[in-house]
Amino acid sequence: MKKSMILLLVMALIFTFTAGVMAKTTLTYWTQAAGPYVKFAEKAVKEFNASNPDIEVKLETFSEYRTKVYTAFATKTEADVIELYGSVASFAKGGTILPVPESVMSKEEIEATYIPAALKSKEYDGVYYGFPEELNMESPGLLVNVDLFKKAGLEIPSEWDKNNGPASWQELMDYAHKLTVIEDEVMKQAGLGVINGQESAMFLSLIWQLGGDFRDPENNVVHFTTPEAEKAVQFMLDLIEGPDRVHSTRFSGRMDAFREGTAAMTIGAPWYAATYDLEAPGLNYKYYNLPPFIAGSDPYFNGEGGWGYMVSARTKNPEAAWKFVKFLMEKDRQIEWAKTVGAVSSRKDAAEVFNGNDPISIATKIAKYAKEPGAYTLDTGQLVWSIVRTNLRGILNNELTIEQGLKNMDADGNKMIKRNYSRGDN
Amino acid sequence: MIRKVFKINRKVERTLFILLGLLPAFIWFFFIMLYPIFMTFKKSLYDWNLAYAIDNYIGLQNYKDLLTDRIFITSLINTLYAVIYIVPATIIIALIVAVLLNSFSDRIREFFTPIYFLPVITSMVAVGLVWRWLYHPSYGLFNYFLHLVGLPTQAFLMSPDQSLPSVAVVAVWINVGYFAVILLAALRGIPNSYYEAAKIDGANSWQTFRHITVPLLKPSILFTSIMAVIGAFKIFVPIKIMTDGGPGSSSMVLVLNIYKQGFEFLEMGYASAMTVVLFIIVMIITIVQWKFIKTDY
Repeated sequence: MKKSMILLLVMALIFTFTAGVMAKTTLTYWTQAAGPYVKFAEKAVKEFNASNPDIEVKLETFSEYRTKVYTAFATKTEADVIELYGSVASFAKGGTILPVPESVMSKEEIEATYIPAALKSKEYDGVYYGFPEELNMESPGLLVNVDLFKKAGLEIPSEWDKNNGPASWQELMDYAHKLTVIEDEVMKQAGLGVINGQESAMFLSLIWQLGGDFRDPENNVVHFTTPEAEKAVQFMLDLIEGPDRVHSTRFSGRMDAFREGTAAMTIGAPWYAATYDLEAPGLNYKYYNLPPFIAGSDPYFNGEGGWGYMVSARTKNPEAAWKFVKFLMEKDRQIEWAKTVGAVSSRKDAAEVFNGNDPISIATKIAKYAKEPGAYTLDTGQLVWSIVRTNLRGILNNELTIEQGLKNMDADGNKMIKRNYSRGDN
Repeated sequence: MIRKVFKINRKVERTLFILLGLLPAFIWFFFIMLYPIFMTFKKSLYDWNLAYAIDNYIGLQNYKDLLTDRIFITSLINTLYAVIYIVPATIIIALIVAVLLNSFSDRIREFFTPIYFLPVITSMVAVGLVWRWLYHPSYGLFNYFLHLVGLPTQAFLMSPDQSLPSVAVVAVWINVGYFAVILLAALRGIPNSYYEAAKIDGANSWQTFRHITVPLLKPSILFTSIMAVIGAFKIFVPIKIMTDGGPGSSSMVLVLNIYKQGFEFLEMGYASAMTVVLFIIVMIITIVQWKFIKTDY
């Protein structure tokens, strides 16, 4: 009896010891529920788990992704590794995510590897808190409806195919005017979709191309009450008002109008092309880069680090978590990610691979002109897509004067920056 | 049995049974309704943003900020306009529909009542998308008819002046059936003897409607008015689907603004303060309307 008890005890000890040694490190990984993202994530997780028997990554996806991620951080129930769009500054300021360890990639290596405009949103106070997967480009593209060109008896110039787009804004406008149809003062076809989309990105691009800048990171403020901003708004108003208008506030938004076949051309981005391919497969279009709005300028446009990876500060397995992130960010995997989701890779060496005639390859050719719109404000999204957009639309719809709209952008933008800097220092 | 085990009298047992029966309802009411309302009031005094690991007490600062927030003031004014556009039109049309339905034979009434009720049970998202097409500035059905009769076409949802009234029309269309059914039920409850007495006294149709139907319907009209006012203050889905508050902020209403602050900008404390303002406005209006009912009945 005594002997068998001792034997049992020894066996139990051996089992406990070996189980401890063999126990897998488990990580949870969150990504959004959109099909292409899940498709890539499932494959990547499978490959990682197969090549790392000591780590098991569990993939979780859900709808209303952004809200749920932020709520999870607030309730301290987030995953170990999280794929999230946009700036990491608020998390970094609140201390809820980890900085990228030197062992994973040094600061110098990060800056040499990634496109600068894409990196800004993953940095806070000089430290990188994650990796960008993409350079999200807004309004650098031109989409042309081939059928509507034919219907108007026009041909798309072969030089556009050779040069990835029209040579000048004037050349583009000549075609836009020919393609605009107005009957009894009512627009029936827009020659070029300009507004009711991401026109705030076009506004920022115009400011840069006019030689101005609204960003002032040294003083943590924004300046929109400038001559360049005034000229930028007037430039846009000239496209939508008067007898030479090519679009109108009384017309469908630029993305919808192009999809409906009521805009012959539209200003857009590579993700427009991906969306049309998915939602309107019969749409016969070509994708080009926009020429600079302003003659003599480079084609500066709004670009920032979109989707990216970060690691929770509450993870119990930071080493394993970073190992997984590093795996995801490898060059070949990033090429695969960019192909699967239809994005411009943030890795310079991965972006270079795209060299064909597809929208991603065409857009990648002007990636160097991307300007980041203001990660230092700690909320680029609210600045560009709410404050600037609302006031710009107010001006374009004649609800606000140019002066009042620009003053509002200054006041609201600076109020937001002040509030963001006053919080999260605990 | 319980009385014997615990040695309690019948009255105590009865009270215990009632309390036990009410417990699930109380738990639901407390945790699903009262507690979130209390937390909304509490969090309106905090600088609470989901993106930051903070939740600082700031007193009335959120309310002070509301006073200078142009979008909030615009959304408040737009909401009041929405109430003015929606409530009287909904009640008047619902009353007309109810009186019409009541005047028909049972068979015709039973056929038409579900038809008027259809918009209420149809998905609001689908309804919003269909109406958006009807209002399309170039290819919408409304502009097609306007053009056909030689009238100038309209921008509707794309116009800062027309966007809110255009959405209000949809809200009225959705709600009329619901309120018409309530008023119809109230109409059916009015004893026929009143109408017979009026007929003997020589009253015409208008006099009968004015002096018999309307006074006897007053409690129902007031009830539907309260419901319509609360509904109009909380208008969200048609605006989110059809205009998203635009063009500019011409159709931005309070609930859409609360949604954007809370779920797009993650400013939960600030959104809570807006919610409290909405709560107070609706409560005051409801109390005033309730007073009307109490005065007369």
